[in-house]
Amino acid sequence: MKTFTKIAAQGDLLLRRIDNIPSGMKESAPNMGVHVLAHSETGHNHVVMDRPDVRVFDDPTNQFRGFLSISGDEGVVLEHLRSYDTHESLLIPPGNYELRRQRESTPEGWRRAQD
Amino acid sequence: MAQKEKYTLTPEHEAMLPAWRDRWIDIILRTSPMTDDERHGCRNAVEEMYKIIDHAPPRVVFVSSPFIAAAVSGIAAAYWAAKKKNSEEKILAALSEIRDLEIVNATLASTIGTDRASICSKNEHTSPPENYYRGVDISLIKRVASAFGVKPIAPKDLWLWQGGNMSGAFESYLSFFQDVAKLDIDYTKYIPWRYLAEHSGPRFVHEQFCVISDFPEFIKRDDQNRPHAENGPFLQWRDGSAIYSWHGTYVPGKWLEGQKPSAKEALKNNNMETRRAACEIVGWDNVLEELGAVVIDEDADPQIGTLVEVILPDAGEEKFLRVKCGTGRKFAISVPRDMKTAKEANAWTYGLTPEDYTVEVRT
Repeated sequence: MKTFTKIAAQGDLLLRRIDNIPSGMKESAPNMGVHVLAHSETGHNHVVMDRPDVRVFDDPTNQFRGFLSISGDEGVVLEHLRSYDTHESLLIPPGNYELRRQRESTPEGWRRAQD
Repeated sequence: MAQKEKYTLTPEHEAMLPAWRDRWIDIILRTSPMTDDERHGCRNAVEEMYKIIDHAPPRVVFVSSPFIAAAVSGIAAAYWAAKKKNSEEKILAALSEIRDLEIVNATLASTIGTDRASICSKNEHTSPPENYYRGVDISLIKRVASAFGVKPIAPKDLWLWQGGNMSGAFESYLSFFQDVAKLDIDYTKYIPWRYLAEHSGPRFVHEQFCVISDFPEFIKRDDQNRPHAENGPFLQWRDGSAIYSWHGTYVPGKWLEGQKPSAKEALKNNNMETRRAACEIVGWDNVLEELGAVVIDEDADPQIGTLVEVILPDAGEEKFLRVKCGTGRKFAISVPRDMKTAKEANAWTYGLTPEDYTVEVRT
């Protein structure tokens, strides 16, 4: 399985290693055993399994940004929930990451890009 | 009269705003059907409202959707107008033109007070709609109108449409002051109106009848909470009536039910918002090919992409990043006009600068 050191992307989701999770971020709860790192309009989300050492955060000031913390010794697998046109799974090593969701330009500013 | 003290939002009441907001969002977006108890309560509420204005109670009729309610109300209003001229038989005869059993039953219940129960019959649709909605067949309404010598008018001009849960935004405001702030005013005349806002869909009111719609079967939204569905209507009632929207823009139903527009058809649409929606449905890549896009910068990595410039009708010069994703599919992403390279544009889509954008792995 592919992995990385500093920056990787799966579809419209980019992960960038950082030192620490910034203050003021809002921790999000898992849903049915997974953390959704990037939503798809058709339900083909990008997810990691819930584990005690895995924490996901939303940025209340920026809908295009989130954070992931893996504090244990083992990485987690980022999976794309779609049975066709599937993005290959990605092994995320332990550490802290900034999550960047892709956007596109619109007359009003920008919005989430569709996966 | 003693001067009342002006209310100021207290910290305690302010703390209750989020929960109050969520409560009313749930009411407005409700998709479960009305219960028998709610229909009973709504009937009582309507009768109370008419009593408040010193009017005799109307015939209260429940139907499956606002489309049916509009059709029923129009025909029933015409019946009652014709009755004043002793020509109501012509209206009843025109009902024979209608094959939708629910419209017939509900209209009869609104007029001569038949005991026949309203039956929700699913509309049979043989082809995807040309318009952004799928409702009562307009041609039959025109035939009925022609039968009694009048022109059909749009529901919005009928001035019978009133209230219901989908008009709940203002009720969320008023009810906060009733239940939370507990302002010292008389709510007697508001109570039945509020009950209907919490327990029914839109209604059509008339001196002789009140037709009340049920809640929809489903409501779909995108991640920005805009009305949206990719493969059918975003809003549908249990009789099959529906409305179509692409990220908040109404579009012809056929575009989302197997008959996508061609690139040329998308570009020729007069409404710029609908045109943009059409181009998204067609796929911008297909559209750009047809527009003869000019290459500004091409990266060696197709997953970084190619920055192109096109001239869109009515919008002028626009830039797009044509890019291949990790699945091998090609996309065209709209980027700001000041982008100069494909890498700059690709980095921008993730909110990064080109210097920060050194992706090791992309799947």
